[in-house]
Amino acid sequence: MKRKASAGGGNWGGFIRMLGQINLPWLLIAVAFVVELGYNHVLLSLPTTTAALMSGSLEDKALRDAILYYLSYGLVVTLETAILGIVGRLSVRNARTKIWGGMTRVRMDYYDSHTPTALSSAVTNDLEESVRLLVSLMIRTIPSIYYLVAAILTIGEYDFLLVLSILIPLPLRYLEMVIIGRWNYRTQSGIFARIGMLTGYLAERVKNLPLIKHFCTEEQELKNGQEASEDLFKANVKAVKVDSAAIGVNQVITVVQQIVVVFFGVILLQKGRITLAQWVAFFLFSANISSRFVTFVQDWQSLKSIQGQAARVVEVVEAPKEQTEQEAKAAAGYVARMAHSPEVRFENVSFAYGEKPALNNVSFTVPAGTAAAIVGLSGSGKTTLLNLLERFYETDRGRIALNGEDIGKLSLKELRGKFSYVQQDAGVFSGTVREVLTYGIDREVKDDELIEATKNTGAWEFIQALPDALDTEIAADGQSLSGGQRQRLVLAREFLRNADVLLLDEPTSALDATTAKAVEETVFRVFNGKTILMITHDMSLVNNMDNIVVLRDGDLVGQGSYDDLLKDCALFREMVSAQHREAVAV
Amino acid sequence: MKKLFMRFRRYIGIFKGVHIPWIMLVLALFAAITESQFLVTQATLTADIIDGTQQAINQTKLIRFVLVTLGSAAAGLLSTLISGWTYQKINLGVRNKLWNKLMLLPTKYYDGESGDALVSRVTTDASQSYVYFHVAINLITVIYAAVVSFVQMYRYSPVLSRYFLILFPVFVLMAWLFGKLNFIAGQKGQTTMSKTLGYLVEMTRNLRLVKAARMEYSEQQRGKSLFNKQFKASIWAVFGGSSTILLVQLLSCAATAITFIAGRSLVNIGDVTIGKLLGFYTISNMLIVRFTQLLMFYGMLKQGNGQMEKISEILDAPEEKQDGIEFDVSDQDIHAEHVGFSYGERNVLQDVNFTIPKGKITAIIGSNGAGKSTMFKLLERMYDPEEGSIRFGETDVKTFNMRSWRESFAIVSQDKPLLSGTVRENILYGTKRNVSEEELIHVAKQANVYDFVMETPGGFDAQVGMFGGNFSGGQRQCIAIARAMMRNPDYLLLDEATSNLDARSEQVVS
Repeated sequence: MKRKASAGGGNWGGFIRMLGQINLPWLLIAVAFVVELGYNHVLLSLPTTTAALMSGSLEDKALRDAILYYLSYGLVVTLETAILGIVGRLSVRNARTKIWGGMTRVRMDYYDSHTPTALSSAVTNDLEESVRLLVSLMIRTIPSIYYLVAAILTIGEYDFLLVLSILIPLPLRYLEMVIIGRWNYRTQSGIFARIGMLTGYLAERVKNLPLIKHFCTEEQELKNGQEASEDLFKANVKAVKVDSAAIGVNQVITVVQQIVVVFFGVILLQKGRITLAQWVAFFLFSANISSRFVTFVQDWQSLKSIQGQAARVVEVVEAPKEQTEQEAKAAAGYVARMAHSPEVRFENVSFAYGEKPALNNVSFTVPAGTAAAIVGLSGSGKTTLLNLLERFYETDRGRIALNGEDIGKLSLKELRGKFSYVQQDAGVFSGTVREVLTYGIDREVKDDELIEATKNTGAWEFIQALPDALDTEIAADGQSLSGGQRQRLVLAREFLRNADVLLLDEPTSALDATTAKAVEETVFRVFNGKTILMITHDMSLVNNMDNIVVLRDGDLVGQGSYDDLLKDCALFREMVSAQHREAVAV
Repeated sequence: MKKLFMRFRRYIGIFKGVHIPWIMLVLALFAAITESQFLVTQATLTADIIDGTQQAINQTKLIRFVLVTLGSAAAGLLSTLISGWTYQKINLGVRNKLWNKLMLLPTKYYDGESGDALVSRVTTDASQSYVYFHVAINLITVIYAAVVSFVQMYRYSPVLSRYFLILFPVFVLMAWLFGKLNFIAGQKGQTTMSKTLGYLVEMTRNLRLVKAARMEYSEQQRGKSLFNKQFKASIWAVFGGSSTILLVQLLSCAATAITFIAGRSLVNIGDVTIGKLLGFYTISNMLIVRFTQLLMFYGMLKQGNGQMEKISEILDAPEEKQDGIEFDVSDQDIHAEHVGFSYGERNVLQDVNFTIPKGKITAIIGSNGAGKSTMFKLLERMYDPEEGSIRFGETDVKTFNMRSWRESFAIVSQDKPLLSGTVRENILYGTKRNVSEEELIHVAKQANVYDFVMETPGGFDAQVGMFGGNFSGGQRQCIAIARAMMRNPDYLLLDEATSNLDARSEQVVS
């Protein structure tokens, strides 16, 4: 999974493979290619036409030709800009759609090892720049070469020595661009690093401004912020200097080039080997050829500088995916034939997040249609059990079975459809309350049903008080709601989903005791007769349960009823008595 | 017009108190003007040389040509260098001013804005502060260059120059039109871009939820339609860009036509030499290029206005009151009397009365959303009560110096925020006295932090990561408790301080 080499070295193979996969607008690209060829062809006559004017041939025909030529030139240039622009953006859109599609199916272990910002910038900036450059190169490169060859041939017809005068300064230019390019690259990456630092610093502080106020550390933070800005300033100034140096060197080389060209031209002109019109045309050609050459080198440098970005895009495209559509199709149907609320069985399951072991050889069974509680100290692997059941991750060893059927063989879509999963710190997306509640539900949901579900979780009370009730917009990440409100919404959402197996991960941690008790009662009433797995810290919730699984550091240390465990399991006893002491203390 | 002036004056206010390197600005302007002067001279010399080549090459003129070319290069270089430095300095000044202001704003101000928006004020928007100065320098340079070019053209041929003037109003009209078009295109692109970005960030952050809800396909479709909208908006930019090119091409075509058609008859009657005609032609083309730069400035200015508006909104917001009586010993009870408070439309507290006796433990209980956390915020004066008052003994707490009042509180809140840095820095955050290693260890042990910190590579110098992400929720909470204990405050506020701890750790903390 770690392909360090491709990220650093630049693996164009992957990128070209990706271009093949995404649905590029090939027809338009072909049209753009033809337009580009035409543009270059028209451009070839520019120096001779201008030279005819410049050398003073002012006859009717020459003048009319020239003006007509300029007019058509203007139109072709406009067309070329427009079509290149459209093709580039169209390609970006198609590539983005493709990659986004893949990203929703990326495996969780890959997802965990990347920050959300890095992932979204792969779909936005990284992709935009790399796809646009590559598509534009596909269209521009060959016509550009055509122009160069034709221009040099034309000049060669005037006099062979002229070609030489153009070619001689080119190595100098190449050297300049390579050196400056490298220099530029270094300062630019310095700036990006500084901007990243400043943004990271600011993002954290701005989101925690109340904390700063609370601790009265305004002055300290002010100083830190100023230092970060000062760093960015220095990096920017360095970039200005590099830019100026680049401009300076460039100007000097241009002058040298002009002098060489003028020197050759004037000598040949005086010797009578070329005409004045040819000299002017040659002068104009030399500028064009040199700027084409510069573009080639620049393109090469941009290609190198987007390597990092392109590699990130390819990495996302080639990231390990969950089940493919074929695999899903092959596995389809099992779940449909399965009994409504199946038995859940863990058989010798082991799992590690990378190097960090999370579960060791855990086995237990939740009989069909019954409820089980999972308890244990923080970090003992409780959530991991549910994540494995949902197949967010695949087990390293052992297997998990629904009614004896290995879940690894089932269609992911059908498997996950079997579960209602209330996740810890469960999120809600921005949108209206209604959209939040019906997220992931295919069928039409009536208002009555929404109201009933939200009443069951105690959410209706606050929804009712919102300005537009069910149609109130909720900010991104549910920031406009309190933790308890969010949790009640999420519970209501899973109630509405009403799947056959209910997975609860600390479903009432943000609720007050009264609400928690009420919600719990509703859970067992609504999901009566369904298989339930519930993780909890709250020992008072488990005292009437017959099937409790106790975990410690990834090991199963006890399973049984509340009373059995009080007798047999030391950890369970300790947890119960700790909470009991606390209850007495309060 | 008056409105525009008012707005302009507001934006000028942004730069009040920001050190503007005027001398450097003038130098940059001077260099830019010199460069444009040299460019005109260069064209003039070329015309002379062309007129001369028919007889013989004039060596002094060639040398002068080379010198002028080098001169313009040098001046251009200087102008880029100096203005670049100056612009960065201006950005830095505005950024620091903005950051300073953010520290002084009342908490109420942050509620309405999302954190990301505020961050981009200080980073992206502040980096556009230089735009006005940039446009000013270039505007003066363009006008200067236009005048000099036109004078030179007039010297070559007064008749031709007059013809050329006809183009001018056409150009201004088109420039205005295209400027507008480009601006609209830019705006459309930006809004759709930020929508797409917001969507992607939200989705990638919660991919697990998408998977659990089996919404992959729907989200693919939603993303697709957003990308498509963005594409459509960006087509406007293509349209704007290519029509600008068309404009420039048509203008230069018209200029060529005028120059050569009218110029031909002038050459024929011997009024103008070929060289002069070509000089005229070159300079007129330069003039057109100069004017098209104006198009860009229009868009830049418009966009800059948008950003400056956002910045000045922040800078104009009222600050927290900093003065007041120094608060020193907590020897009185705190009374809340008829306190009422609401977040905008949402009523939170109504006519609340209670007393917090000194030196005793007071518990605040209630169901979710009952206003418990809000009560803490009012106590800390993150907000002021809208009705009623909170008094310390007989004194309204509003009269105390904000800082000295807040320093007497330590809070451990529900969301246990940490800041990136080491564990040590986080525990000592906001503690202004020198703390010995023994004291640190003592507090860490009391807050149940010591054991897991010692197990972490680096110990107290281990990084906690962005938002404390390297530690679990329970561990973050313990660190936050240590941080509060370290301050040794007069008042300790615990807001569900143990909600993330398992029962065993909970015991230790209580």
